[in-house]
Amino acid sequence: MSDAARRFAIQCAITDAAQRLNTEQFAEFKRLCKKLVYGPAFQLLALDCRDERLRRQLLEDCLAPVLTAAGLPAATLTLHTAAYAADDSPADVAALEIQLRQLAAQHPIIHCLGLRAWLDAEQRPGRWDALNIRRERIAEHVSRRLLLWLDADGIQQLLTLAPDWWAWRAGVYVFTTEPTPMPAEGARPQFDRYRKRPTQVQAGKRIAELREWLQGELEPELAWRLWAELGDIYYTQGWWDQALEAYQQHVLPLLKALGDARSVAVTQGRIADIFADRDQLDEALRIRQLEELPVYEQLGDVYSRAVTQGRIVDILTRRDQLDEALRIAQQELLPVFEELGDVYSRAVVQGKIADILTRRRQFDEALHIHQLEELPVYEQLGDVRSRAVTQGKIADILGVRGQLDEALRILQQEVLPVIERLGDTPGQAIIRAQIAELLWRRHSAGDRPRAAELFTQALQGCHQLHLAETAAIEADMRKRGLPIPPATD
Amino acid sequence: MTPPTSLLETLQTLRYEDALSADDPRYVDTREARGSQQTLNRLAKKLGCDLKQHKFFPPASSHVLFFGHVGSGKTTELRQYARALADSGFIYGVEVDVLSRLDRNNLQYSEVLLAMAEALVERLSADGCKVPAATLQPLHDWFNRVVHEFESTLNHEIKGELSAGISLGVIGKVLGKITASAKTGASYKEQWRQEVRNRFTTLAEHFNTLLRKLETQLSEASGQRMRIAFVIDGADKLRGDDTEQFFIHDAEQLLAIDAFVIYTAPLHLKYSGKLVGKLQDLVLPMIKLHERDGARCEAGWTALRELLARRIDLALFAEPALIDDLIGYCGGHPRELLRLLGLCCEVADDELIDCAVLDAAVKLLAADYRRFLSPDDYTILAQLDATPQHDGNTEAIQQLLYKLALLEYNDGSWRRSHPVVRMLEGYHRAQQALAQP
Repeated sequence: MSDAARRFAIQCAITDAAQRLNTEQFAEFKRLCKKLVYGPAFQLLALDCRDERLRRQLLEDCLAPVLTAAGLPAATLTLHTAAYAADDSPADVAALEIQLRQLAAQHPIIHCLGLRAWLDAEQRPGRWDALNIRRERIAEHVSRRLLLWLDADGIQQLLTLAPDWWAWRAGVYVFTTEPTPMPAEGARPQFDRYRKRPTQVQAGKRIAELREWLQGELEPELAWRLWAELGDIYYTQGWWDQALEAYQQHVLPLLKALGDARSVAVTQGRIADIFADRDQLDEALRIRQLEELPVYEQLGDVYSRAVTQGRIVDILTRRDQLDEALRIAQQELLPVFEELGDVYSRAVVQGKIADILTRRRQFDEALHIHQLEELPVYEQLGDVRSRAVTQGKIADILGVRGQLDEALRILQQEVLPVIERLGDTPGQAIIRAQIAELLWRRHSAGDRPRAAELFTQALQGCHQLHLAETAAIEADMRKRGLPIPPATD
Repeated sequence: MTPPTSLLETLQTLRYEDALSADDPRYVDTREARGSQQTLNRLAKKLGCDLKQHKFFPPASSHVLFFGHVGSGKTTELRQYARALADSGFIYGVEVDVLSRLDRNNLQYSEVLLAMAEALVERLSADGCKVPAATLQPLHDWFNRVVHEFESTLNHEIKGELSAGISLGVIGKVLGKITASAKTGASYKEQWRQEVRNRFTTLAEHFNTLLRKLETQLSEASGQRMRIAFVIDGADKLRGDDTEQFFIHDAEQLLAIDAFVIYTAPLHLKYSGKLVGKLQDLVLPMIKLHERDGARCEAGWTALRELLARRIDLALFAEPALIDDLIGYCGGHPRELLRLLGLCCEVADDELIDCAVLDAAVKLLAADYRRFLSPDDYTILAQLDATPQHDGNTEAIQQLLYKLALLEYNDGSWRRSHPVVRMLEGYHRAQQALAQP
C-alpha cells in the first residue's frame, strides 16, 4: 500500500471513532493516535481512564482499527482485573520486565492493563520504586510504545513514586465520561455536503461534537439542523448508511413535526442522492418525482423545481432513457434558466445535454457544447472544479475518438492537478482510472506498468470511499489481467 | 542538516530522553544563553587546567559534582566539556555511563570503581594503547587472589580468563563479567560487592598505581603532561536513599580514588547541606530568557530559536511570533521546549502550528503540573516569583525544583516558577491571596 493510501486508511479509522466518542474523548484519541502512529518507537504513554467500559471501547473499537490500518500490532498485558490479580500476572517488576521483553519481540505497541492495582503503593509497597529504577533497562530492552492504562490516582503515584518515568513521559491522555457543554457557536452548522465539505480531520472532530450534543435535550429547530449537518458530513465521508439514518430517522420526522415542507423536500433530495450514488435509480427517481418535485411546484419555487428536474435528467440518462432526458433538458430546463438569467445553471444544463449526446455517440456535437457553451462560462466565473470536470469529459470524448495523446495531456496536466489541489479524493481516484485506461490503450514504452500502478491506486481510493465506480474499475483490471489488490478499508 | 519539514516527521524524531553526542548536528552552543561562559573554565581549573593560557598544574585528585535540573542538558554539555578538555591535550577523558553499565538499584561505590576500570580499559583498547604487563600485574594479581578464595560459576569463568595471561583484553573481559553480573542483579553481585568492600583499600591502591603509570605512559606518548579524567554519567538518576548513600555516606571511598572524576548529580543534593567538603561542585545554569529584573536575555531566545530550527522547519509556524511564544512557555528548559513542540505536533489538525495549537499545547503541559501541585505549592511559587532572589531552601522548594515547577537561574542565585504553571488557576488564586493586605 502506498504511503498516502496508508495515511488515508489511518485517518478513516480515526474519523470512524468519532461516532463512539464525545468531543473531549475524540480530541484526546486523535492526539494519542498521532503519537502512536507517527511518534518514535519508544514511548511511555500514561492514560487516565477510570471508566472500564470506555477503556474497553477505546481499545477494541477505536484504537484497534487505527493500529491495524497503521500496521502496528498491539499486545495487551493484563496485570490485574477488577477483582483479582490476573492468572499469569508477574510476581514482581523483574518478572514484569521479562513479560514485556517477550511481548516486545512481536509487538511495537503494548497495552498494560490493571497496572493501578498491581503497582498500588499501599498494597504493594516498593513496586513503583522498583519500576522506576528499571527505567533505562526497560527502555533499552522494551523499546516499544508502552501504554500504561491508569486513572488519576495511578498517574499521581506514577509522578511521585516513579519520577524518572514521569520525566520521560511521552504524553498523558485523559479520557473522562463527563459531557462537554455545547458552546453558542456550536449550533451554527459548520459544514455541508456541497460548498463547505469538511476534510477528514474536520469531519471526525465535528462528528464527535454533533453526536455528543444530539444526545442531550435540544429544541427541534436546532436538533434537525444538527442532524442534517451530521448526515451531510457522513455523506462526504462515504458513510451512506449513517447518512441515510440521520436523514430518514431524525431529520425528516423533526421537519414534518415542524411543518417545514421545503426543508422536507430538500432532505428528500439528499436521500435521493444517496440512492442514486448506490445505483438504486428507481428509488431515487421515485423520490425526485413524487416527494420532491410536487413540493416545489406547490411552493411556486421555479428554481428548485428546475434543479430537481436536472437531477431527474441525470437519472434518466443513466437509465438510457435518453430521448426523455434530452427533451426535459432542452425544452424545460434551458428556457427556465435563460429566463432567470442564471448563466451558471444554464451551462450545467448544457453539460447534461452534452453528456446525453456523448451517450448517443454524437461526439462532435457533444464536444462543441462542452468547449463553446460550457467551458467559457466556468472560466469566466472562476469555477475551477466545474472547469476540470468538463475538461475530463472532453478528454473522455477525445479518448473514444482515438486522440489519446491529447486526452492524456488534458487529464494529466490540466485536470488531475486541479482535483488534487481541491483535495477531491473521489475525483482523484476516478481521474487516475481514466488516465490508466488511456495509457493502457496507448501502449507506448512504460505506459502499461504506469497504467497498472494507477489502476491499483484508483481501485484502492474507490474502495476506501465506497464509490460506485469500484466494480467498474475492478472489471477493467480483470479484463486486462491485472492483479486485484486486497481492499484496505 | 535539514530539519523535518512536516509536523508528523517532527513528532517522529522528537525524543526527550536522549542526550546529544559531542558531534551531534542538533547541538546548539548555549553557554552565553545560560550565562555559563565560565562553567567550562571553572571545571577545567578544578582539574588544574587553564584552557586560555594552556597551562596545566594538576592536583593529586579532584572529584566534582556537576549539578543541574532534570533534562536541562547536563550530559549533553558534559560531553562538550569533555571534548574541550581532551582537545587541550591535558586530559584523557573516559565516559562511564552507570545506567547502561550497572544496575542503579542500590548502586554502590564498589561497582562504580569496577565500571570505571572497565571503561578505561575499553577506551585504551579502542585507542590501540599497548600497556605493559608489568603495569597491569598488580590488578591481575588482585583478581587472581579473590577468585581463588571463593568458588562460584562466575569465578570459575574469571579464572579461565585470567589464565590467558596479562593484557588489557584479559582485564577488560574480567571486569566485563563482574559488571554484567552486577547489572543483572545475580547473587554474585553481592559476593563481589562484599569482596571489593573488604579489600577496597588494596584495590584502590592498585587502581591508583595503574592510573599513575598509564598517565605517565600517555604523557610520554603525547609529549606533555596528561591526566585521566572520568565522567560518571547517570549518577544524578539515583533514588533518594541511594543518592545519600553514594554521595554522602560513601564519599570517603569515592575520594580514595586518586583521579579526576566528574559526576552528574541531582540539583536537590546540592541543597541538602550534607555534602563532604572535599567533593567540589559546579552547577549547569538554566538557559535564561529574562534577567532577574525582568529584562529580556536575548542570548537565551537566540539559542532556543536555533535549537528549535534544528528540530523543525520554522516555516511550519503560522507566524514567526509564535516561535518566541513557544520558547517563552518553556522557561529556558530545553526538554520542556521539546515537550511543548511535541504537543503542538500532536494537537495540530493541519500542517501548521498556529495560535490555537500553541494555546492547546500549553494547556496540556500545564495540566501535567496541575496533577501534583498542592495549594501550598502554589503559594510558595507565587511568593518566590514576587521575591525571586534566593532566600534559602526548604524541602518543599527542593521538591518543586526537582519536578521543574520551579526553575533556577544563574547558578541558583534566583528562581522563577515554570511559565505554564503561571497559567493555572491555583497559581492565580495564590497570587491574589498574596496581593491582599
